[in-house]
Amino acid sequence: MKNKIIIGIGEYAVANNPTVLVTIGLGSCVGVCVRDKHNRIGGMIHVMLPESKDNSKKMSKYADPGIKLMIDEMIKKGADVQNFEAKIAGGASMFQAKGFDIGERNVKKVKEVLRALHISIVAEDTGKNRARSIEFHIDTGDLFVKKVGGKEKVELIKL
Amino acid sequence: MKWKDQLSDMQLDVLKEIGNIGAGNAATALSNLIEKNVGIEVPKVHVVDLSDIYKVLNDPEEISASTIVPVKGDIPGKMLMIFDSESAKELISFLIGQKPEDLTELNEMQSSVLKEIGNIMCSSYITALSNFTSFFMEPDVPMLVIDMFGAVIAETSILASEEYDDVIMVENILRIKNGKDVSGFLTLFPQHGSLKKLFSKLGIS
Repeated sequence: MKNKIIIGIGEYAVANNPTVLVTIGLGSCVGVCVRDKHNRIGGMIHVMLPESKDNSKKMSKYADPGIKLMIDEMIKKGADVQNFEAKIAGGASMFQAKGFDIGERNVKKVKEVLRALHISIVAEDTGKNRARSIEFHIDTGDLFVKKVGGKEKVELIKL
Repeated sequence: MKWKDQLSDMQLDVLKEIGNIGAGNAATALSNLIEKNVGIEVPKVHVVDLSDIYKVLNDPEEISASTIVPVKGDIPGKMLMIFDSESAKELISFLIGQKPEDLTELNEMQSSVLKEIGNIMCSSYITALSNFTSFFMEPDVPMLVIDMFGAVIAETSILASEEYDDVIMVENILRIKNGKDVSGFLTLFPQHGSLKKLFSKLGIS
């Protein structure tokens, strides 16, 4: 039985193999999953907003510096930056109206931060207008994305 | 910053009472529309951390139909009317006689009916609140979203929470008696500046 960790909005978790990291109901938020493929240490963050300039707030809500905080914790656990690969999902615009482009901005910022940290994105499922729930398996690196599809069925995609 | 540390019991009670007045009016509006009795449950006020939102919902991944009505004026915020999939289909059939098979593939007429029900209910809630507080409040253009329950709630709270790490949710459950069980979840997400104004007007800041 794999250990399951559910990550709330604006939080992150870092875990060793074998663990499944889960986050539910990503709308404009972006789920960023990073894994050291050799040492099998993984992390997931539920990014809510692009960046914060004020240090007094809960920092894990933001892509910058939230992702860096998570990476630091992974390195502390013994992960090696050389082996890192990332998979991202989310950034939908559920409400189709003007001024609701947080999703797009989140995805852009997440990619920027990952590029600056020299972590390559190997798979992504972002944008569109459907909410997502994701499951990241640290042993295999598989990322399962659940979406509400046509015919009221839940679509399951493996990234 | 957290609301949890700032709100008094008195203020929470006032929010509950506002929920009562608003939901009462919304229920009356719905009752007139579908010509059936509509009951309301005692409102609940949740002050939850953003990261714990999925914990207060029964089934965050349930497919639901939500109408979002942005509130403009003196005390801006967001109003949400959410029906689960079965209730949404029943409501559509009450009004146009035909029950849709699939909530994700509604035709224009069906989705328009659903959006209008949500709009009427949210607007009556807002009007009641506006009369009670004598603040100017105006409903903006409604949006209909068919998606996971949890994601809709999370998305709306993010937009309303601004610099706060938790969110206030005034939850009202409506039930249609006499016939099939239809229930809805009506909730107001006030923006933070709005609450301060509201409390100071009512003399409990």
